[in-house]
Amino acid sequence: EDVVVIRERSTQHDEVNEEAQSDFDREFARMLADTTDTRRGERKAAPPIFDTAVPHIRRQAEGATAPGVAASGKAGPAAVEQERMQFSLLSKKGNKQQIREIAIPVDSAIAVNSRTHQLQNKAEQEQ
Amino acid sequence: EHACSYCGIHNPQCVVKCLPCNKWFCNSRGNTSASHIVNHLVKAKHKEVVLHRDSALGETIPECYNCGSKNVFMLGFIPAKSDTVVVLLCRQPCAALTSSRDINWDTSQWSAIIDDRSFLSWLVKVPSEAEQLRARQISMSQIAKLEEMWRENPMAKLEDAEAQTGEEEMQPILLRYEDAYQYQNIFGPLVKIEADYDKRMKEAQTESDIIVRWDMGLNQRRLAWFSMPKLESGELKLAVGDELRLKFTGMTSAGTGGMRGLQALNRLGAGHADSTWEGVGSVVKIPNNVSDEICLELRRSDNCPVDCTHGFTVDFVWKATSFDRMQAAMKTFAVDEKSVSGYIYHKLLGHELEPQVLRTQMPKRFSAPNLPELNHSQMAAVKAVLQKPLSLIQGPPGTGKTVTSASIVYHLAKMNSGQVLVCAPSNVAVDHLCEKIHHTGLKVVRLAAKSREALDSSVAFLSLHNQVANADTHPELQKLIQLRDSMGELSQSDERKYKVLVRACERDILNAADVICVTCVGAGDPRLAKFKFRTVLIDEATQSAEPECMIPLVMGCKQVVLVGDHQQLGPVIMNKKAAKAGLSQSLFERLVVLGNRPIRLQVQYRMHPCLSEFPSNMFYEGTLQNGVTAPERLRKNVDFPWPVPETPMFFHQNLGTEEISSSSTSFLNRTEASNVERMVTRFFKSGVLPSQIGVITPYEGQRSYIATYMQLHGSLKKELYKEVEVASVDAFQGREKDYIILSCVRSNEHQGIGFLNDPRRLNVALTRAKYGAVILGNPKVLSKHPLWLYLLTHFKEKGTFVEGPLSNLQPSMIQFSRPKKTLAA
Ligand SMILES: [Zn+2]
Ligand SMILES: [Zn+2]
Ligand SMILES: [Zn+2]
Repeated sequence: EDVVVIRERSTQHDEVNEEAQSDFDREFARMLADTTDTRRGERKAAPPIFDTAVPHIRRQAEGATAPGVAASGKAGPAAVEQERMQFSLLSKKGNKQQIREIAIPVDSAIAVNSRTHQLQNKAEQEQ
Repeated sequence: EHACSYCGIHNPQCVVKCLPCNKWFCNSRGNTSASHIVNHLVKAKHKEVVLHRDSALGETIPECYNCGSKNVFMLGFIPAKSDTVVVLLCRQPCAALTSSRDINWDTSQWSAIIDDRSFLSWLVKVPSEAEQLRARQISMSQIAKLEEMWRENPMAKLEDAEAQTGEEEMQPILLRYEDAYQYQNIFGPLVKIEADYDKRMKEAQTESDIIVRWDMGLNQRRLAWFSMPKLESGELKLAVGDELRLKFTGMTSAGTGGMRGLQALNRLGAGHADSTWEGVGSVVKIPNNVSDEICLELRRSDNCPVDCTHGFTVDFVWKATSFDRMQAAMKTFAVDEKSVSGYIYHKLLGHELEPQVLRTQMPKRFSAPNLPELNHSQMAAVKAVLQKPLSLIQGPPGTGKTVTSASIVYHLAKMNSGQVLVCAPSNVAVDHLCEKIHHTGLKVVRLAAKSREALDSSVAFLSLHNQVANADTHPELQKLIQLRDSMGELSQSDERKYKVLVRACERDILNAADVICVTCVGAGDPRLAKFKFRTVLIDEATQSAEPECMIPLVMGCKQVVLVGDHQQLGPVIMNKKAAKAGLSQSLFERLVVLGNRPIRLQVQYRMHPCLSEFPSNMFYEGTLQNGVTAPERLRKNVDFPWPVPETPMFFHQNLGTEEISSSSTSFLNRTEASNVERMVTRFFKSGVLPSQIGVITPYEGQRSYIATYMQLHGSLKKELYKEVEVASVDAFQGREKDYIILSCVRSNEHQGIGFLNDPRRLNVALTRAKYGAVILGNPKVLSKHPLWLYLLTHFKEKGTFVEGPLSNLQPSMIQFSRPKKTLAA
């Protein structure tokens, strides 16, 4: 976990791990940059701009489950230990659009941004 | 069964199945930097997974909504602008930033499903502490072993990996050697594996889908401009003078995308019947602030497919030259008794010897003509080395190493017969020293590799090939040169005559020289094969591997001066096995360990005293004296908001997160980049020129991001920002700037600080600035490392540890972390 060694006598074992760690760092970086996917955009003359319409989702009052999501809304006891915000995930099943409810922790990037956004919009509308 | 194949955790909410190999892995890190599933995907190079049916999304394969890519390393969520709807998209191309306002989705909010090297915890739960404690503990290296075994036997177990221990280790270097054969037997294999590794690395760097822009050089040679995105990974360092092979196939990996290439290919018609072209050239420009492009000068200008832009491939032309020369030098050392004097022979092998004094007439004054007067410690150094067969000089930053070296060379050349051979590992260092020696009035020749002859340098007029071209001693040669220049080429018989004359002329010039300057590897140049060099000075000797230093030494050396600083960056060894076995230790360092005390230059003329204090205490036992005073290093007219005006430095706390730069394998930190821009702009506003500012950052991703960011967001004239040098620590070694901004980048909890944990690299980074230095970084992360904790404490004690906007810097109240390890001396 901790990779620093400042000219210190470390055990053989640590050294092996440290080497494995720096190997891993490099391989991880390479996976993230793998060009087979990253550069697909450049090959297509004009990469399609993703702009699917946002499906309109009617959320019912807090606590109640939205229609059609009963199966995936498995909020077991483990899932409630953190405060969550309800989102809908747009996905595809074959060629059909599918909407699933997911609970995202309130402190995750998506949730934070979404709240900031909502507040901003509200402020703009009120002006 | 869905138990983690590493640790056995089998809570269904915590595991993911790897699609290609059907094994399950959990989302806990154990004691590694990444969660088990991420460890596996990286090690096995697998990219697709299935979530467990009890997970938040049920049994699904995460994929890009738009293009269907299932590469989890590319996938992330983006929200709709108007509603709490999210969708999974791949980072490239589908979520690539678009500026269009009327798109419903906010791609700027893309957030990866693999974050901080584990799956988002709400997608795949992280097992509880208790679960993790009960699980099998598996280390980084055990994982690596297990994965390696799975490649042959997917059913292999960790126990099997345990049983299979220790692969062939390289024999490590020694402190003392019985004889030169033993020396060769130990270094030979290390150089060999380093060479093999280098070859493998470079040859694996083929990049396709390269887009080329054609140009014509002033020398009428064809130039090809292009970018190589992979270069950013930092695994391959491209240098000016390297050779690349450019190929044209007209094909791109997407097929149709190559239309422009294909059409152009058809136009090529006859002469290109096989529809391909390739040409070798040498690199004349590498990516810098101004552009990320590489420029390749092709060896042959004819037949280049200049109409084509797409469908090119680039690979590296690997050359064994430097490694071959090291091996040859070690062989000479072993078999040729006359390769070095008896004294040097035993000294190099670490044998005990009575001190020897060379009988020569000492000069009356020690400063050399046209060079600055030497100070006390420089003079002592010059005096000490002239009559000693082997000496070491340690030159801490800014202590006038080059002037001292040049003065020594001047006296050695005057005192002894025969030429002095002057070397350094890098061309830049050789040029620099060469120029200084030339000032003393000595006759200097700079010998460079053929592939570098066309490159411009400050000492081009001293280069052997230019001296040949301008020589008036061989009138017939001049005639042939004129003929060639007017006709373009020579007849075969003239060509032969020309070559003979060039060789003769080269020999005459080399023979008449007082000093020959060349890189260490260049000392093995066939043009020097017949020469004996009794006196050798190697500058930056701590930056070359031991076998590299041997190349200039085995040419008959009786007296050698090694100049360097083992507290600054050492040799770069790519193969970790070779480095571990000791190839990364320089000859200088081994001689120090053997008890040869280096003479240290002690007065530094570069840094404001407040900047030299920490490096002096930490790296030079507090012996560094200041040859400049604080008032001399304070610019009164520069109104920069230093928190303590008489202490022009501060550490600026940045808590922004680190990420992987989008097109590369390198790290970047956007907050820090924007703060760098603010600092630079502020420096400009207070009257500092762009050329006086240097931005140091350890990562290529950050370098190119900062350069681009300043171009796009800098509030002053774009041109100004272009002239600010943004580069790595390594690129700044041996150089200085008035003001330095250091952007540390790494800012995560689990992965350490990478490059910055090397004390020698930190020393170099801290000692580049003359008038002021700003460090931007995350103190929480950095302070986990003992050396950085000292540095941060130092800044804090001086009242220069701050946060907030430049216009209102406030003392930072953040608590430092406690290092887990202590700093050993
Ligand atoms: Zn797998
Ligand atoms: Zn596990
Ligand atoms: Zn996609």
